This record gives sequence, C-alpha cells and structure tokens, in this order.
Amino acid sequence: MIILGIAGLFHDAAAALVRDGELIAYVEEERLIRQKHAHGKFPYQAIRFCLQQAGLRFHDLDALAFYYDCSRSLVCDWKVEPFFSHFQRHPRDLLGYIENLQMIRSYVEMFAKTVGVRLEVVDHHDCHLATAFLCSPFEKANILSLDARGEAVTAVLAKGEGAQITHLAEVPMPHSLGMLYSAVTHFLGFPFLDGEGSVMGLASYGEDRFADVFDHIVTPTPDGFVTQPREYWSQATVSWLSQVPNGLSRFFGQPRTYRRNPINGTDEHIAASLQAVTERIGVHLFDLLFAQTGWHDFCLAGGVGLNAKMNGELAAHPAVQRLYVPPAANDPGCAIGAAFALYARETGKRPSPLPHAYFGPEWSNQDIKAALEETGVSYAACSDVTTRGAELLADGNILGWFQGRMEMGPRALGNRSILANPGDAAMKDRVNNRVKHREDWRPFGPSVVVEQRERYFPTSISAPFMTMALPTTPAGRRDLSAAMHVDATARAQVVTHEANPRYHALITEFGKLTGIHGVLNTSFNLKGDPIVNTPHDAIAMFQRTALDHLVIGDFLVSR
Amino acid sequence: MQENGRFLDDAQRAAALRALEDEFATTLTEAQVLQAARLFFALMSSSALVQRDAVRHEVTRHIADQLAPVLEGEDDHAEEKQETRIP
Repeated sequence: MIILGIAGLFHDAAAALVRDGELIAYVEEERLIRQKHAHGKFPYQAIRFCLQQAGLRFHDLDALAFYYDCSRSLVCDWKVEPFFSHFQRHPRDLLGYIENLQMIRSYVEMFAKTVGVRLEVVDHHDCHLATAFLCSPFEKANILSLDARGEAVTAVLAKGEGAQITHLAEVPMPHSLGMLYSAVTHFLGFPFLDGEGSVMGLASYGEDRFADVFDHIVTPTPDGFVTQPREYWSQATVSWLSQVPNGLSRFFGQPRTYRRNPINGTDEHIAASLQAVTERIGVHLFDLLFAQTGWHDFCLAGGVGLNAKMNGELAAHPAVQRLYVPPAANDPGCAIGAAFALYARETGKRPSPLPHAYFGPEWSNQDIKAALEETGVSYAACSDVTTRGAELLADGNILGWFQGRMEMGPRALGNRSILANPGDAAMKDRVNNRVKHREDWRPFGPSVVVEQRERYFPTSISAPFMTMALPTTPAGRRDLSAAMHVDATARAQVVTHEANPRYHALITEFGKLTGIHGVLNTSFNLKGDPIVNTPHDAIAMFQRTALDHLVIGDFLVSR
Repeated sequence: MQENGRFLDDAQRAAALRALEDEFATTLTEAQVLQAARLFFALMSSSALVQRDAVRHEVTRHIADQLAPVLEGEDDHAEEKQETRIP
C-alpha cells in the first residue's frame, strides 16, 4: 500500500511518502521554496520530491492522507465560547472563518480529484499521535499530543499498543497550552509560530515570579487542564478574528515590540513563568497517563512537543523510563503521521519505526562538483572528510557541514549543520558574530557520540533528535561550554553510527584529537531563512558569511 | 489567509453575510440558537462560498507547472535519481 501524507495550506507544509508502512521520503516545503514556514502553501514541491525519490507517479498511489478535517473544525468551533459571543458581535468573522475552511477543504479535494487519487482525511491529533508513537521503537507506550489546536481539541492523552492508538482523555477547544505559549510569544515581541523557541530560551534567564498569573490562566484537572481563554487570546493567536483585545495586557501592560535583548527585569520572568506552567502541566499530563496505564514508555508530539526544556523535565519524570519525541514533532511531521495512521487503519499493521531522521533530498558528488564549478569558489576534493573536518574543528574553525539526505524537523542533525569546537566558551559569540547573527542570549546545542553520553549527561534517555534539554555533568559543562545554556542544560543530540555513520565518525575523530567527544551543532541557515537544501544554497551561505570552511560531500571549500 | 480571497464567490458571500448578521446579531434564545445552527451547518456543509472554477484553475496550473514529471506518462526520473545519490 502506497500513501502520500500531506500537511499544508495553514502553515509549515510538508509531504511524506510511505510504502508498505515504511517511510521512503519526507521533506518540508519551506526547504524547497526557500520561504520559512511556507505559510498558506500547498506542498507541491515536497510532493514532487517524494514521488521522484520513490520512483513513483500519482497513479501508483493508493491514497492521499491529509492532516486536518476542516469540516469537523467548523462544527466544533462555532458554538464554543468565546468564539460564539465574538461571532454574534462580528458575523463577518464567522463568514471569513467558514470561507477559509471551505477553501482549504475544496483545495485539497480538487487536488485529489485532479491527480486521480483517493483522498482520506485524518484528524489532526491522530496525526500527531501517530507521528509520536508509530515512529517510535516502543511496542506499547503512553502518548501525549500537545498542540495549539486540532479540529475540536488541543491536547489528547492516549495509549498505543501495536498498530492501535486509543484516546484516553481530550482537552477541548478553546483551552490551549500551545495557544497560550504563542500568545505570550507574540506579546513579548516575537513572531508566533516561530519565536516560541526564543521564549523558551529566554525563560532560563528569569524566575517564576508570575506563577500567580499563569496559575490563574491554566488549571490542571482530572482530565487534563482548563484555561481562561479571554485572559490570553489576542489578534495574533486567532488572526482570522477581528478586534480581539489582548488579554495579557491586563497583567503585563502594553505588548512589547521586538528587541534584540529582551532581558529587562520583567520579560524574562514572564517567559520563565510561562515555561514553568507549561512544564507543570506537562508533568501533570504524564501523571495522568501513568495513572491510567502504569506504563513507563512515553511518546510526545504536537507543537508544544518541540519545547525541549519541558521535554527535559518530562524525561526526568519518575515514571519515565524511555521518552520518544520525533524530530518533526510539530505540524510538518503530520504528513508522516497522516500516512502512518491511515496505513495502520486500513491494514491493521504497524508501520516501521523511524531508524533515523534523514529522508530528505540528497546530491551526488557529481552534482556538488558542478555547483562548485558554477559558483567559482575555490575547492579541493577530499578523500577523508571526517578526519579533515575534525582537524579543522580542532584548530578552531567554524565549518559548514553538508552531507547526505537532509534531516527532518527544525533542528539540524548533522547533515545540514554548522559545526564548531564546543570546548571554547568564546566560540558561541564567534559563531553568532561571524555566521549566524542570532541573539546572543540564545543557546546552541551539542552533538555527542553515544559512546560518551554518560560522560556529559547524567541520564540514559535516548536523545537522537535534539528535542530535549538535558542536565549536564561537570565534564559536560567543561567540554561543551559553548553549546550549553545559562541554566547548565544542553539541547543534546546523541549520535549513533547506525543513524549517521559519517557524522558519528567526524565527532569520534574530533574526540581523538581534542578529548572532547561532541561538537557545537547549529542549523545551516541564517536567522529567518530555512535550513539550506541544495549545494547552491550551502555555497551561497558560505559566500555570504564568515564560515571558515565548507565540507560538502567529498569536497572542501576554503577561503 | 487573505490571499485566498481570490477563490471566493462575492455574491454568495454577501448573501451569506446578511443571513449570518440576521441570525447572530441579537441575544439568542434557545430556539434562535438552533436556527443559527441550521444556517451555520448549511453553509459549512456546502462549498457555496468558494468559486470552484478558480480553485480548479489554480490547482491545475500548479500541477502542470510543478508536478508534470510525476503525472502519468513517460518519465525516467527514478533512474536519474539513482545516479545522483552520494555513495
């Protein structure tokens, strides 16, 4: 059975090709069209890549699986407060809301009809649950989908066993932890659906001084949690509504405009309190799951599942033996989830767990050489890029590292990465000032080889996708100082030979040279751009920044 | 999603808006809520507000422009792909 999973038309479009339960290809549309988050886009380019990678055409497909049921969303929302009161005051907004969802539904149906493939719609949270559990190696596990919203609910607690996923509890609209996080993100001057990670980073500079405010807004319940939506809704988080007052102003004054340094004695504490309540609710939801199943394996997805700091706390939950957070825990991953969920539903079989995160486009050395020639940069063939790359890193150079198939999700995982020596604390500022131009209070993360994990992190939790901020050991704080956060945690990637042999070999060689068994790893992009995809993208970034070298395929580009 | 306005049928929208204003603008009794619900579900279950020809035109154009190699027909891309993989 061959299924094409599709996410798109809202934000973060993506496509995934699943053949007989095995993921063959996946890519986010933003990487191909070079527009971060691909707002409002349908993933035409991603679909084309997936089909070409699999050597298939549309007539080979058994089904399209789309990740959102617009009809169900409409049925549920209109009667929920504060929507209903708002629609009474502003009928035009109700019309606009109906129009948008009608349009999206019509668009997807028209696409399926035009390419002649059966269309199946999968509920949004069922996609997230499938991405979390069916991609995991666990035979049975607790599952949490925690998002801004789905069609009717914002969070689902579930259990997975074999191919079967069963809902245990749901948090209905409009009570949304994800929407609260986005609302505060926007209030603090960052773009929502993009700046949430910045707010998470900012939180580590503050203290939980506004616990009273956030405990008033969010209350745990025996089924999940409830919120006071009027206290945090704003035009930003429900952008299709007009004239929505900003609820957070009542507590924190006027909404902020973006400042490169937002640490002002207040805003970092707002971020810290938001983060603290997010973690408290996350722990509460894990408590509820464990109380129902008694199982010690947990899976987590949804937009809030990208909150690495919360995930680190959850990994330390006493009931948790293993925690799986997929690399694309957010909406693009629903392309995989939709296809996996449909496969499980129609065949009764479980799809194959993801062995790694590398299912995107790749280029041959021949293609790379052609791009190098075309752009006129100075390059040399390199017979052993791992050894040479490790030597350059050990000498203090900042490398662009471009290898193999592109990784999925928002984190670079060693195939489209910028790398540096993490043992030099000054390296963080060098990478920022010369290459990334990010705010200097935001942390980078380290990639370490699995054989040395315990040296740096006091946990046996597997962390292959940089989705958890883990506490560090004294050796970790010494060897990975440039890739640590101010709170002494690190958003770690633990690298195995099986998942990425070339990257594993690079870090291993670097360890032999320096005694440091990890590298600073940040995504190969400029602030505001998607991660590079093609050799041309990588070479262009090398030319625009002060990267010292670019290791691309089996070639070395130097200045 | 303002860009999606190009898909909408202006006449149908104006009529729908008048009807919604009538049903939703007052303080609703239970019976009026049911009436509003009927209108809402009628609108929701149709695609009357969307100009399907406009959607069809755009989808068809994108498919022709961007997906031609993977439509039915002759194409040897799978073989090309095999040749371009990094060993």
